[in-house]
Amino acid sequence: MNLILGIAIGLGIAWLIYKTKNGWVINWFGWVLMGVSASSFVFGVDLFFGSIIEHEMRAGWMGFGLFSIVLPVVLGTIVWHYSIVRSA
Amino acid sequence: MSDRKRNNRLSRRDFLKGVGAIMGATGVASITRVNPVGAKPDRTNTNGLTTHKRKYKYPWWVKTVDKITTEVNPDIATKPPMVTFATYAQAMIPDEEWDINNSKAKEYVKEGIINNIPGRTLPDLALHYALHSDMTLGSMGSFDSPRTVKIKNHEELVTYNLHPPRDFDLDPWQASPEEASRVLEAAGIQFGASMVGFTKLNPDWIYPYVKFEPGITEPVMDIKNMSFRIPESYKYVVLLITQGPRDLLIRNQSELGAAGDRATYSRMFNAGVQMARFIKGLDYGYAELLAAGPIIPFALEAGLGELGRMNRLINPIFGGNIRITGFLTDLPLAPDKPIDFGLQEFCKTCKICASECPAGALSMADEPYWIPANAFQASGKKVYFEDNLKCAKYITERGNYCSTCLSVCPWSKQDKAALHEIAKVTSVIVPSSGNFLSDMDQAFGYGLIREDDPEMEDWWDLDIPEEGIDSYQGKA
Repeated sequence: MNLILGIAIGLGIAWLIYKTKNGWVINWFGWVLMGVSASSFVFGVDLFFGSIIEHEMRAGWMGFGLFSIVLPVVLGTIVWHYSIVRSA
Repeated sequence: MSDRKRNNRLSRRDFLKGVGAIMGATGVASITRVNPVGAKPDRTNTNGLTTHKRKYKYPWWVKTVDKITTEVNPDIATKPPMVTFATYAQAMIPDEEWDINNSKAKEYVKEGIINNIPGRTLPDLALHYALHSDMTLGSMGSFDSPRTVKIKNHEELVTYNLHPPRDFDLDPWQASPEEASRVLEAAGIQFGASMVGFTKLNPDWIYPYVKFEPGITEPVMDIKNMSFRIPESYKYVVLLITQGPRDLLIRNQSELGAAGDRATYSRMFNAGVQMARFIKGLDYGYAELLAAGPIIPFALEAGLGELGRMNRLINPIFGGNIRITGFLTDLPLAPDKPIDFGLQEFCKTCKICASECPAGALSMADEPYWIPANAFQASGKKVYFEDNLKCAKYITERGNYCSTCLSVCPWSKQDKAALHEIAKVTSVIVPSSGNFLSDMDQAFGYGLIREDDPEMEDWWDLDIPEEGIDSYQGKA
């Protein structure tokens, strides 16, 4: 699980670097919000897989939905609309 | 953008400064709480003895303290009239009511089997009865509970096929107290204990009928005359806690939950017998602590946890998913120190054990108090005294042992998701967060699995580890 998570985050960072080198300018709070989103996503995934082992799937789905989907989507939307200046 | 507008905005430098200041303050606050600035960890106890260097280390947010966190006053302490050779339920409930309750329990059990009620089916009941141990046979966890606990002589189990050094004309094992504690801890964990702790005998906790005598070499129990004579040299106490199968225990208030409770006691009993054999194998003596005094105060002094609202031991790693056993011995041992992880403040606002107690036996008071609920409780301690008669009636009328209060405790979580560690650290740094954290606990769907919950019978399909225990809890 950690390997897959690491690859996913690595691909995300690579994509961001590619975009910033090709016209995107992201302001400082955009980076902060993306950091919070990424942490929240990882936290939700950890809770989900941890809950599978603990046999607490209600908590697992709840945490995954909240921390890995809802919060990153909300923060991502804010970043998408207010933090990225696309010059191209 | 104008200069004025630019000046009104929060700059990146100011933002980072603010974040840094908050993180720094939080760090300093937490470090100060755990280990006051300038203070080195104290490795001696009040008797000047070097304390046991625990192999199984607690996390950074558990601090060691000089005295237990429950307020006690031996000067105003009274001992209950009848506290052993019978469980408290057996002592409190009158004879005629005992028989009525057993009849009710038999009907209750039969109803579960006939109607295939989830958690009370025949396989569930068989699992409950199968997991009894020699120790729990005869306790109130079944509808044919005897009026008094059958005291079994475990001497045969402890001494069978055992050859202490005296059999080879050799002296008993010699070691420093620190070495002895180190060896007993390692052995105890091998025997199935989750943690092992040590303390010195505190006479304040000992039952009135127990006498320490210089002229005897072995403990002598006389049930008929209610006396327990123990050699005066038995000044040291070893305690073992064993964890229970969480997947069964969260199905409390059912036969499956009772099976979890009995399984925890069975593990405790097995580890205890093996520890007694080990002590005897080193050629030292032992006496069962359970027959000499209430075991929890000794566990508090040995740093195995704090006393929770439900008046049971709560360990910072395993929460309430534990049972305790212990022995008095003449093998000199280095004691542990009591611990503090903020539970006293946490319990003031959490109250989840009291609100979930099916018998309504636990106190919902905001603060602990000195007045016992009835004459069967010892005074001299400031706790949330429970109505243990209600608890006893609930159990005896159903024939299965309830430990809901321990299972729903927010500290009783496993440690596979980081969320639990974050919640524990939060409760230590912000002790008044008990109410918020227990609300979050319920919002996330933690808590008991009940009869009407479709997950109840799913236990039979779960992929569980051996004995349902995660032996790496808190270690990895």
